[in-house]
Amino acid sequence: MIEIQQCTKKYGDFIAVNNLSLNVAESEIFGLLGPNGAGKSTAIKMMVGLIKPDSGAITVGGYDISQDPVNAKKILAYIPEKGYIFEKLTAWEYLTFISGLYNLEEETFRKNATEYLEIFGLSDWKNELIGNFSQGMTQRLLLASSFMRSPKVMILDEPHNGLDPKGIRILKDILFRLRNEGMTILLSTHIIAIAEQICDKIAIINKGSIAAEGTNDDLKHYAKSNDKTLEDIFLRLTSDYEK
Amino acid sequence: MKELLILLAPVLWSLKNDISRVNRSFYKKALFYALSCIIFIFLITHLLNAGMIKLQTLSSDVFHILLVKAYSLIFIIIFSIQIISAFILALNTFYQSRELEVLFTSPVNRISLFFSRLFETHLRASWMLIIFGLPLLISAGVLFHAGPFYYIYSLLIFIAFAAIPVNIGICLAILTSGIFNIRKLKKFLFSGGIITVIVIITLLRIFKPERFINPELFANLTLFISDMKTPSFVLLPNRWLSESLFNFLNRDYSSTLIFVALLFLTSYITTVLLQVIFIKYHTEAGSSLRRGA
Repeated sequence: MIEIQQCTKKYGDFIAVNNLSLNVAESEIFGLLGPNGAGKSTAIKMMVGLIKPDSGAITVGGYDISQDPVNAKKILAYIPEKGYIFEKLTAWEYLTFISGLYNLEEETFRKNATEYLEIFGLSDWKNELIGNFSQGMTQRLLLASSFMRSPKVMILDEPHNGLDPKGIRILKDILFRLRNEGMTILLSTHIIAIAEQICDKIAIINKGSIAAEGTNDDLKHYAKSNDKTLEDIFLRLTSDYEK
Repeated sequence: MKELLILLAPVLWSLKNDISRVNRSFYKKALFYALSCIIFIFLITHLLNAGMIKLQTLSSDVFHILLVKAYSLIFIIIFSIQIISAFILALNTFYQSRELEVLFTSPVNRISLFFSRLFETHLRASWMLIIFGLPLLISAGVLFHAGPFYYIYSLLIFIAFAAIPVNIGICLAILTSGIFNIRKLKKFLFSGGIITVIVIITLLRIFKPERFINPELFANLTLFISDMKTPSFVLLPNRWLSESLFNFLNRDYSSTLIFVALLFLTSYITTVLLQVIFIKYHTEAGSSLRRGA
């Protein structure tokens, strides 16, 4: 569903993403795990069409994000790490705006928006200005605005940042439910426990390239060591980064 | 068109919320700005009128040339300031606005995105232009006892004129952001104020406007008239605007038409060129800005 072929992105002499290749299958939760500055966000921004790779190609649902961005973005939802929403709009106005951008039918919009506001505990706040929301509430509204569109592919950059434990639990449950309904989900995180609990497959990214990829068991096998946890594997594979 | 309206909806809803939710700071700001603008426009119009009535004692030919020269000078200053102002604003509306991530990851046509950003930049850049420009248009109208049609006409050609420097400013922002990252651009922006001052002083020195107010500075009347008749910067929009205004007020409609056509055509061409530049260079420019942010 998401295919990245030998993508590279350089900023001057600094290589943010180095010959990255990835395949995310349909109905899969794929975790991009890596230390800070490993290139996760740059890779994600290339996937959603915010940054153009210097070389390589990216397709989402069969659409090339550079050649056919409109069709690719129709089936794609992106939750940025520090998402900003128009502060002077109410939550409902923001959802209406998003519904307009993605051309949702009025009935579908009303049904889904009401449902997700309820799930994320924002029903009572729907007519409140977003500027009065906490960071966690803003993040929940961003999630609601993406889920209400029922996209085929969802890309989340550090989605747990700013969420309280209840919010994290709600998100986890929804991600499992939507994965089972056929959605493809790619999320980046530096929290190993989250990747371990949620993801069907994990890629450990370091210095812009994939250091290891596979299921939890695959990674243990790949490491060929006595590492018992994903944390041990992660630290071993990315240890040179911390030096 | 539908997409464009959707993209502009947050701007209108934000304004509606500011008004309907009795945001006291918004009302205070609005009142302060409105009063300041009215006082400014009134004072400048009054001063300009007083000056022009004094000069009206000169022969009608000299007076006409003098008006065109003086207005051209003021318009070129506004034009230059507007380029720098639009450049700075465009960096925000086209690159640094925090809502851009939502917009650029949505399946909206890039042309609609371009026009929504363009509209916002024009809107935000033009308030200053209107405040500075209105007294000039009103003074000329009052002096020539123009009818209401003149005020509509002058506002329309002023809008066409205003679009040109804003388009140039946005174009510069897109092209320079493709070369430099945001840190370098920010440093450059600090120099923006200095550049503005240098441009204004240079223009004032080139035009030497004080000469025209005081004809005694010239050795004789022939020199004064010949200097004023020199067709300076006839290829610049400031001159077209002055000519469009005063030829219209003097009922010289055939000359007026040429200059009006030049203004609207240039405004249209710069918009089309800007659209091409946006489509070709905007994504890469965005990349370098994001890296620098």
